[in-house]
Amino acid sequence: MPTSHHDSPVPDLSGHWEVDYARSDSVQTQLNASFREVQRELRRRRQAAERGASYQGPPMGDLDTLVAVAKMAELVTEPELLEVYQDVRRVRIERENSFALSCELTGAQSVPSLLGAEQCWWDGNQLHFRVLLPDGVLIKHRFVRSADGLSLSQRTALTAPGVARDMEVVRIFSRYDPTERGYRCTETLTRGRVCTTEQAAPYE
Amino acid sequence: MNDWRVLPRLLLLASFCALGSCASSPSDVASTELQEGSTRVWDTVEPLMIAAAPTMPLLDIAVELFDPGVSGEDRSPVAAVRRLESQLLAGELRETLVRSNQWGVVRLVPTASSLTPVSIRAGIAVSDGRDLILDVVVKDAMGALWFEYTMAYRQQSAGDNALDGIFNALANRLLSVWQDKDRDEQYALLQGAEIAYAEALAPEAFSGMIQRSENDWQIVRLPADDDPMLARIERIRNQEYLFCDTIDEQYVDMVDRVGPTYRLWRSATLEQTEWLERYQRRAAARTGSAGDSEFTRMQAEYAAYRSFRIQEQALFELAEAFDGEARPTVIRTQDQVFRLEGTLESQYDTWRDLLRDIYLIETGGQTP
Repeated sequence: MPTSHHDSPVPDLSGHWEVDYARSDSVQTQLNASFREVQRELRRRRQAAERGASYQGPPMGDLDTLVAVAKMAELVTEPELLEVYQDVRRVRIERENSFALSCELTGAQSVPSLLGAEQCWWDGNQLHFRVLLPDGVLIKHRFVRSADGLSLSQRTALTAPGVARDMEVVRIFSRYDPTERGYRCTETLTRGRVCTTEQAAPYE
Repeated sequence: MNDWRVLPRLLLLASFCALGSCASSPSDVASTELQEGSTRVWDTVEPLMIAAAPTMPLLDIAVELFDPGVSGEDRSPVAAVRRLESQLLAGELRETLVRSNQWGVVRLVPTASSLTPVSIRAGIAVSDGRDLILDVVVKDAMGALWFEYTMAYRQQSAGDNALDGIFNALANRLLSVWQDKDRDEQYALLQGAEIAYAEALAPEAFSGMIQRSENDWQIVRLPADDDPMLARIERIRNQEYLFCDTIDEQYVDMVDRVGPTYRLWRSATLEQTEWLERYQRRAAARTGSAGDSEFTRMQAEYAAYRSFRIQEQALFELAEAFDGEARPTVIRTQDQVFRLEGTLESQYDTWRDLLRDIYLIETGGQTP
């Protein structure tokens, strides 16, 4: 059961973050690893059958669902930019082209709905979010900031009924300064993503 | 069959709820309502009875800001939306009453008082974007109950203006009760309300004029027509009206800023709920490997959830921005300017205290 840790100070995650591909997982690599695991599992089953023994290993799960979960992992970890707002009470992680992950820091919370249920808590080291979709797909995010405060790790694990193991994708984000890009984008309700160029600083 | 899908879902949803403090979100309430909804009989919108001109005597009505049904200390986004709705819905009711053209002045007031002969109080029991359940109580200024009932609407299609016509039945019922009274009763109500207002301000001078029983009242004595205290009280009453008019201006401003997002959220919530129901029907009818691929199904569910949350968060953000920061109200009287701060309720209380002080000064400082 998740618990909140009031005594452990929550590191400041606030700021702008962009994905660092060099240090992040590739979903394809994870999928290949899963396939290799499935192949090993099939081999063990075949060998057990040849010996006339019954196989004692865990159920393998079906391949269609495994591929679907991998593609979902890619979709869920798509946002390349994060903007984090934090105060003593709450942290809110705004993700590009997606909904924000928001959590009170003082205890575990759940927000169930017809379309899915969300849960979050701070465990003293990491910030946890879980999203459960109606057909049983479970998305788990864990956020942890590096000691030097320059990196933010987002560990995402997906699981679905019929799949034996989680599909896990780690994305590392680095801090960036949005004002240095020459443009700024915001998500609007009616017009979607709207970008404007930064106003040039007047000459002295 | 898809039992393997449904069971873990129910179990996980239940465990999600058990793990945390299960905030009561509009969608949370929606899921409860989904179960209750199968047995509930939903009201249908009826035509509003509109008059060519109001009939005499004119009855003024106060619409209290609705009870949001959440604690004042609850700072969650859900609570902020509810508080926002408590004003938007009260405003919508006021608009319906005005549109019917059957009444005198219809005012929004933060809390009940004997300012108007009749006041309408409503509490939000459920409001999730699709379903709206309100508990309504209508009383006169003397405290007698006119009627109470629960109105329950389920929005039928996303294209509807969600709130259009939902208060027609209430307005029509109010009209029916008013028209069932004979002319003497109608005038007695108006007189009684004036005495009740005066009684609240100066009980030493006006108490005993109305005899109240459990759910009835009777005027036993009338103040003299030329009683100078009545004229002072009328001036005080006009100052209280001034406050209500100021609230009206704030309300109109708020509707302009929040109304479009609120309606968009209601519409989006309904669309998502309908989508989910269609999706569940399709899933239940699905056999074997026929139909959508695993990924298409998962992607559709995630897209629906993501879209729903984006809409919801946009409204939460707006509601939180408005929540708890009622603007200071500046009221100009003939010779003074007052600045009132805090929530609308506390501003109203402050203003009424001020009016009472003014009255006391005018009457020579006698403490009632």
